[in-house]
Amino acid sequence: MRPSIIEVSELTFDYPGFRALDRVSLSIAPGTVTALVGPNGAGKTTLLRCIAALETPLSGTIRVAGLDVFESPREVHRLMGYLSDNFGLYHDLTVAQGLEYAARSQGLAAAAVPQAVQSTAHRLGLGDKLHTLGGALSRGQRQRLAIGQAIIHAPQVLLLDEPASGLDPEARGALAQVFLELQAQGMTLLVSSHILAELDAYSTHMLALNQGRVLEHRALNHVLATEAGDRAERLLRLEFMEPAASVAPWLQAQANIRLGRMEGHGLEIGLMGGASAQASLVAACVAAGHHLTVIAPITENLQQSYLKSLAVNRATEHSARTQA
Amino acid sequence: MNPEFRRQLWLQFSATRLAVLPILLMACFVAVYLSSEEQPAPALAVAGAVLFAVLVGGMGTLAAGASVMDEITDRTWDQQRMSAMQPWAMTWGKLAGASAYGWYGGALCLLVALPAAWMAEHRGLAPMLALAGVLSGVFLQALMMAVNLQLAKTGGRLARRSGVLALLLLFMWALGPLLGTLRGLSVIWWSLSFDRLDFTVASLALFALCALGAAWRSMAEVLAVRQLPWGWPGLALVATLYLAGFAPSQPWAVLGAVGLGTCTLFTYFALLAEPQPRPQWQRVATRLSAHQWRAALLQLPRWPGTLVLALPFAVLTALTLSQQDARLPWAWGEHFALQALALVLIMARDCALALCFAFAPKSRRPLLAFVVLMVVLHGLLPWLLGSAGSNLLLRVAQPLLAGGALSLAIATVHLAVALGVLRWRWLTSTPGQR
Repeated sequence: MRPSIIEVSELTFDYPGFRALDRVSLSIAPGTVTALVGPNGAGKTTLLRCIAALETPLSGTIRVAGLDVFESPREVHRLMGYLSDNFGLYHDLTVAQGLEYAARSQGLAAAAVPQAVQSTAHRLGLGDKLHTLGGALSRGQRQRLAIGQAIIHAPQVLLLDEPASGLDPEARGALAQVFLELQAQGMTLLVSSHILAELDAYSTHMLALNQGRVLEHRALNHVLATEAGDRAERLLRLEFMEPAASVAPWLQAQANIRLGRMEGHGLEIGLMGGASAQASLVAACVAAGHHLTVIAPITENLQQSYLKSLAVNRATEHSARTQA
Repeated sequence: MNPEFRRQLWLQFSATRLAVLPILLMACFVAVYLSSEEQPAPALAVAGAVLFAVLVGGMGTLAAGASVMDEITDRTWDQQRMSAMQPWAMTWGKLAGASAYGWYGGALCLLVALPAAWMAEHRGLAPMLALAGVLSGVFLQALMMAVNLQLAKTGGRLARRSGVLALLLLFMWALGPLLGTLRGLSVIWWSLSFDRLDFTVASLALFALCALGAAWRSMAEVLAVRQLPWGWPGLALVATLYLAGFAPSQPWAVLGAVGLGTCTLFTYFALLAEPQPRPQWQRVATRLSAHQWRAALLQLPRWPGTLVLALPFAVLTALTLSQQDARLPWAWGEHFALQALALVLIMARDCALALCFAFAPKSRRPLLAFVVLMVVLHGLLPWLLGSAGSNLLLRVAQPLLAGGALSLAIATVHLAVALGVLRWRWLTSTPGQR
C-alpha cells in the first residue's frame, strides 16, 4: 500500500453557532485525483482551507507529505498549490509578472523562474499573453492564469475549489486535460466541484461529504479495474441486431460472464479478464452467428455514485431517527 | 530580491511616474524660491520638510496600509497567505515596496531641504531633523500596516478603516506637540539627562521599532504562523518603562501606577479591537483539556497577556502606596492602594462580560452591546446612584469608589457573578450541526 500524501485525522472545525467538520479522517494516496463532492454547506471548502492551513480547526491533525500543516504552514505551502473558489488576480501585473511573483513567493530558485514562467504559460495556453495585463484577460484566461500561479512551483499537492465554475464547455475540456497531465506527472489533486460531469473526466477517487462528515471515500471503478488488471471484472455494454433476450441464454453459458441488466437490444455484462477476454467474446459471438453491433465499457458515473451514496446516508439517518 | 518588494516596485514605478514626481516637486520649489523676497533658503527648507511629510507621512502611510487592504478587496489575500514567504519577509516587502514611491519623493525633498537648512544656519539641527522625519515615516507606515492587518482579521468590517485613518491622522498631529512639551534644552528620563532633540530622535526610533514589531507579529498571525503571546504584553511593558521614566520622584510607585494604567488601556483596546469568537476559545479549551499548554498559548488572543501583566503592577502599586510617606506626584494619593488590585478584578469582570456577549449565538453586534454595558456600568449607573444620594448602592455598583478592602471584596463578588454568567453562556452556546 502506498503511503498517504495527505493524512487528515479526527478533524473538527466549528464556525460560530455550527459545526462545519465533524471528526473527519481520511488519507489520500499520491498521484490520485480525488473528487470532493457534497451538497452546499457539506464542509468541502472548509476542508480544503484547513488542508491549506488557511483555517485553524478546533481539533485534529493534518499532515501533508509528513509535515503538520499547523506546525509548519510555510513549509507545507512550498509543497502545495491552492486555487480558491473566490480567487482574485493582480490586474495591474502582466501574465508573466503574475507567474513570476507566484514562482518566487513559493520559493522557486531564481534561476529556475524564467523557464517555469514560460512552460506554465504555454501549458495553459497563455504563451501569447505573457505581456497582457491580468485585468485585460477573459474569464477563461483568468482562470487559467490563477491555476498557473497555483502550479508554477510544481507542487506535490494541488487543491482546487470549483476550478471550472464560469467556464464554457471547451475551456472545461481543456482544463480537464491539464489536470490529467498534472496527474500523469505525479501530482496529487483534490478537486471540489458542483459539476460532477466535469469531475468524471479526470477523477480517480471520490470523497463525498455531507453535514461535515465523510459519507464515502473510495477509488472509482475504472481505477480499481486498472489496478487489478486481468483479475478484475469489467463492466461492458453489448448491443445486438436481434433482441437481447434471444442472446442472453447463450451468453450465460459462456465462461467468465455475469449477466446484468437487459433492455431491448442491449444488455450489460460483467466480464472477468482483460482485453484478451473481450476479444475472445467478440470472436465467439461472430462464430455463434450473433450480430454484435456494440461492445463498450461502462464507466462509473460520478453523479449517480454520489447520489446513491447520499440516498443511502439519508435512509440510514432516517431509520436511526425512526428507531430512536 | 524579496518577491513582495519586487511586486510592489512593479506596481509603484513606471517611467511616467518616475518622471512626473521630480517635475512637480521642482515646480513647487521654484515657486517657493521665486516668491520668497529676501532669503530663499529658510523657505525652501520649510517647503522641503512639509513636502517630505506629505509624501512620506501621508502618501507613504496610506500606501503601506493599502498594501494589505487592496489584497483583501482584490481577493488575492489567500494567494499571499498561501505563499512560502516568512512573515518578516512579507512585512518588509510590503512596507518598503508599497511606500517606495513616497520615499522616492521624500528623498528628492531632502535633497533640497538639507542644503537649504544648511545655508539657513541650521547646520546642527538639519541632519537630526531629517533623521526624525525618516523615523516618523517608518513609524507611521508600520503602525498603519499593523492596524490594517488587525482589521484584516475582522473580515468584513472594513468600514472601520476610515475611523482608524482619522485616529492615525490625529495621532500624527498630536505627536509633534507631545514631543514639543518636553520643555527646556534637556530631558530627565530615569534620572539621566538627555539633549531634547537627541531624546526625541531616540524616542522616535523606539516607536518605529515597536511599530515594526507590531506589523511583523500581526503579519505572522494572518499568515497562520502562530507565536507565543508575548508581543502585546511586551509592548505594554515597553510603553510603561518609557512613560514611567519621566517621573520626577517616587519611581517605583509611578512605575506601578503607570504600568497598571497602560495594561488597563491595552487590555480594553485589545478586547474592543479583536473579535472574540467562541471557536477560538473552544480551541484554547480543547488544547488545555489535552494538556497541550504551548498549543493553548498559541491560540490565545491578546488581552489575557496584559490582564495578567496588570496584576504585578497592581501589587507594586498597592505595596508602594501603602507605605506612609509614599505619594504619587498627582492628587489621588494613598487611597489608591487596594483599589489597584480591585481595578484588576474589575478588568477581569469586564473581559468575562465581553466574552458573554461574543459567545451569544444570535448576537449580531456583540461589541456594541458590550460598549453600551460598559457605559452603563462605569458611567450612567454610578452617576444615577450618586445623584440620587445612595452612597451604599453607589459603592456596590462601582467598587473602586468603596475604598480599601471593601473595594476588593465587592470587586471579587462582581467577578464571581460575571464568571458564573460566562459559564452559563458557554454551556448554552454549544454549536450544533448546520
